[in-house]
Amino acid sequence: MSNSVYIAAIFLPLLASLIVGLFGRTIGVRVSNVVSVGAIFAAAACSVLIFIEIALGHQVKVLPLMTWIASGDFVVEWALRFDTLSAVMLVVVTGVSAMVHLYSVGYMSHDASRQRFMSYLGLFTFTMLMLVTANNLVQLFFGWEGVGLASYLLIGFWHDRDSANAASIKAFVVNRVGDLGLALGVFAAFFVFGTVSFEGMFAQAPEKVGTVLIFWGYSVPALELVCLLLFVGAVGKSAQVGLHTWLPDAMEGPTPVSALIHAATMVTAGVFLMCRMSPVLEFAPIAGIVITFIGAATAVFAATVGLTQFDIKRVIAYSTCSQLGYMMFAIGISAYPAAIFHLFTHAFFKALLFLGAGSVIHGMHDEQDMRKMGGLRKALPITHLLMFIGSLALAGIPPFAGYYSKDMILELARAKGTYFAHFAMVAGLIVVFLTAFYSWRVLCLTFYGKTRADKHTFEHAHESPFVMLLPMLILTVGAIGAGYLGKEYFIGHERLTFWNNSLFVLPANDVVDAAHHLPEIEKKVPLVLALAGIIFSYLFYLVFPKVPAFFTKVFRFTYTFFYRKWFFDELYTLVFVRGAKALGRGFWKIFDGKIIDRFLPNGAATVSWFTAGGLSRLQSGFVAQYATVMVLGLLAFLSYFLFKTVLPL
Amino acid sequence: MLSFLPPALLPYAPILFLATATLLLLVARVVVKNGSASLPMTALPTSLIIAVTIALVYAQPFVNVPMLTADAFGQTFTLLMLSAALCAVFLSVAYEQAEPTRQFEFYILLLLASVGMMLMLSATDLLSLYIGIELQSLSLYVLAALRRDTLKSTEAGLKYFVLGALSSGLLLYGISLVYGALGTTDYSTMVIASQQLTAPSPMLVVGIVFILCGIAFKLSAAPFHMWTPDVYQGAPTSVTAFFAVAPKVAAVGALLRLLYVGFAENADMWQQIMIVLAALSMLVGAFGALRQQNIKRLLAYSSIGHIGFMLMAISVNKDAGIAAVLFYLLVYAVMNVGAFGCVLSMRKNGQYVDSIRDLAGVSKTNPLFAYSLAIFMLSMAGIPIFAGFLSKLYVFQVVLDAKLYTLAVIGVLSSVVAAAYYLRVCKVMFFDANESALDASPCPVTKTIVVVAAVANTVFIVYPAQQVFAFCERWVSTLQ
Repeated sequence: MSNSVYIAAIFLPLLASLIVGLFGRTIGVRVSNVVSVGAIFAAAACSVLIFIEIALGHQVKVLPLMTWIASGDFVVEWALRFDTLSAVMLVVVTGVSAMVHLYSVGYMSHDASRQRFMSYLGLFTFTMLMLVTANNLVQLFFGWEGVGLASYLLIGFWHDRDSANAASIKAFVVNRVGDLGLALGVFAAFFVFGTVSFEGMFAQAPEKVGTVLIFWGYSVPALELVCLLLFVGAVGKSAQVGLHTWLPDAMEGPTPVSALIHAATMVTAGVFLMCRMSPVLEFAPIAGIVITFIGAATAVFAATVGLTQFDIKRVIAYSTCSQLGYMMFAIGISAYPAAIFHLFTHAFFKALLFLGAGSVIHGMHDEQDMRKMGGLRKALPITHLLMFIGSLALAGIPPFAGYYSKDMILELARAKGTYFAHFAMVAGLIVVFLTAFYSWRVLCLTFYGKTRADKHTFEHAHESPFVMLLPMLILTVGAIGAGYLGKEYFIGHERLTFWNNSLFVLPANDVVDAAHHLPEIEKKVPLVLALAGIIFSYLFYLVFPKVPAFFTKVFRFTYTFFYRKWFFDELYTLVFVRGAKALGRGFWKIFDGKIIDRFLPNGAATVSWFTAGGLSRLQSGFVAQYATVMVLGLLAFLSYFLFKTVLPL
Repeated sequence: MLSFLPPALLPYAPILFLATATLLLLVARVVVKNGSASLPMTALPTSLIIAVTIALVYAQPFVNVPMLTADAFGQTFTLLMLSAALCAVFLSVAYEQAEPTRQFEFYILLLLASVGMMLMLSATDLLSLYIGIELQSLSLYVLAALRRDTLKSTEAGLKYFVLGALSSGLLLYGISLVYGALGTTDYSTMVIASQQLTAPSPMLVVGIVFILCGIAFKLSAAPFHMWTPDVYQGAPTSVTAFFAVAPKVAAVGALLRLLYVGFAENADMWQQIMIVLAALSMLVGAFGALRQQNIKRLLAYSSIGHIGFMLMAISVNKDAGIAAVLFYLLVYAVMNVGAFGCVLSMRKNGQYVDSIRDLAGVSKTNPLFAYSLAIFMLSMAGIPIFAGFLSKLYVFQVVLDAKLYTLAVIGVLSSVVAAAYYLRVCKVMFFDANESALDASPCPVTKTIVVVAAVANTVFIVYPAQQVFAFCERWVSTLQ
């Protein structure tokens, strides 16, 4: 297959973004939509072709584009790397992006700046593709920052809302913390390996096991340090506990954005990065333990918060956070294929759930609070059905997609048998129950029972147009079939040929076969827990609607703790935000304004102004004065030279 | 082509032609009294005369005769000066035509000044230099006072004359002192005489200081610049446009030959004078214009600043320095011809205006004008990609190579300050509220010159900057 297909898959979204962004007003809404959606569908088609050739054809292809930086030993190339891992990501990114583009045509149809929205989506898609096809850490960093930028622009898309601006800034600032870690990780990698290209690093990883590095005065194992620093970046981007606070707030962006960026693609960049680095990570066992712990903690934390939220999008956002926790702890126990498999299936059903939520919000005229919904099944029958399927997939009910990937992760954790793997497994099992519970809570509060919406809104609630339903339908197909169709390739017997060394697992760490031979009874535990979650949820919210109120009263402290998101925001405000703001204000008002501005630019300008005034006064117009100045100048020269030449004599 | 002339007259051929033709034109204009209506009928022969002179200069064989030389260095300068004069003639036509008095003397005086400048550029003797300067200056004094019925013009002419007389006195006195010290006024014998001096001669030192102060006045270098803003503003704009380029070219050319040939042995000394003049001129050029409301006055200070930059390059006392001066001068000529073309297109309701405030918002009503003037302003400020950036860059390079760091710092700082007033003009044109539009430029000649200059300033960095560099380096090697 010619290289142009590969190039087209990556650069078509950029082209569309530029056209629509620069000339959107000239070419009009309709043409802009056609250009954007057309380009992304073409890119998606190319991605499928690439997937067939690379992943199913067991190939690796690197397309060099140009040299970016060449400075001494430090050489960075622009190159596109296509292996199974990036091919899978390509399909996910362009596939979901195509659906979201199409959906946005309907969802944003009342917005005045649709072209700008489409342009940002294209920009996001391009940078995300650059990220997943990067052939070195610096190029990956470019894509990483690019998606961060696009995310910032899209969260703050409705820039006339203060909350959207605050959320976009929050997302950017919190990600800065993670990005600093990533940048340090790239520096450390170059320091250790002398290169930032993936092949170069991976080839050297086994022999660098014993190397130590001096970091802040401590000698630390080099590979552990590299992996942990990179993981800091992943924590920021993938909203792991600690740096997760931006993700729920990011729901201020339009819902298609939440589906694309904050559920299916960008937030999985951290997972992708750690999987990409698997040949190094495999030699960093401590980093693996840290990742397991953080991932498991995130899964539990986010699920508990998700139980209590009332904003439909926030519940799904915390659910995303929780699922990302699953992927992370899978990475921690060397189950990279399972992590990517879960990433793959999750992309379908989580995008579907978000688009469904968007459909509800659209139908309810921008109402997001589930306390003002209920009984919408009649008004939005298709949306209800699709969200129901999405929730089944999320809860992990067979044969829907989430069942295969999530169960695999839990089984691998069981089979791994280490202390941290057990911890993660227990956490994972709790989360299975919680996930099913909050998923059905959403369904019950939104679609079943008596409505709590005001009469006018309820009567005018309407099903979404076809252009929004179609992408949801397509995603539903993925949510149903992706797990069953993919399991043999991703985690089954075909896995070694399928992954073709793009993911690396030390043989000692590979417990897939052990997981396949776990007792049947143990394999059934997650399913039982999920069903229990669903049943409890039904009982709580439909059969005995007074029970939740009772629980919130009895466990008031715990409830408040969960409802206020474990007080992370309050803690951060207290510890970091206030101090930083005061510091910033001090630098701005006092240091910059009163000192630098006053004395340097303004001071220099004032001095210049008065100098000019002085010169103008000298320029009085009187000939005698002019002549005086001339003669004085002459005399000055004369005196100087006469003193110099005559006096020594 | 000029073989019919006796060999002794050959080097004078272009000058003789120009002078004779000018006098004939004067007689013709006095005899044929068909009033002011035929003012273009003076402009046309004037430009023809200059064009023929250009051709003659071009075809002139290189010879030395007493007091004068015809060499490649002077030839190139003369061509540049005459081209600038020709541009001034073209630019003036519409302006002079609009004046009620319609004085044809403008062209006669312009031609006479050109004769003087040609003498200056080929002078190899202090006396012939003085004659050239005087002939040029006397014509310029009258030109400045050409509108004898307006107060400003007469005031400008008078001031210029009084101060010019003072500077001529300095020059002449300096020449006599140098003659006293060296016993000659011929450049090449002056060098030999200087070499034979056994002890430093105070008389020579005083003489050189006087001469350089006199020439500094002609160059309008600070602190001998005081006349410049008043004369630029008071003189008719057509005259100012002529003042801004051709006399500067002539003065720089004469100065280069005098310093590098005549006073080659005294380089240590004049280098210091040049450094001081350069620093002061750059500072005055930068600060003086900050508060100006009149575009002609602003351009006067701007030209003082540019002279400062050229003097800075001269003070390096190396071939590279001269090349930088020549490069700067070429770019300066093109920028100023264009800028004055713009000033000469500033008319509102048929009246010529010269206040910066009159430019408010013209980017909306007269975009071509606004963009052209903006290009000249940015170029003069030395902002890349425009030609003025390259010329400043070149000067700074040679100055830094010569390790004149203090001077370079003064140059950079003053160009920062100067950028403020150049940018203010742009700001007024592009961001201030429009009060009233300028008249559409009625003169296609002016418009063509402005547009050509603007395009030349913009594309210069791509082409032909490289060729001009090389040309300037060749040009330097012809100075001997």
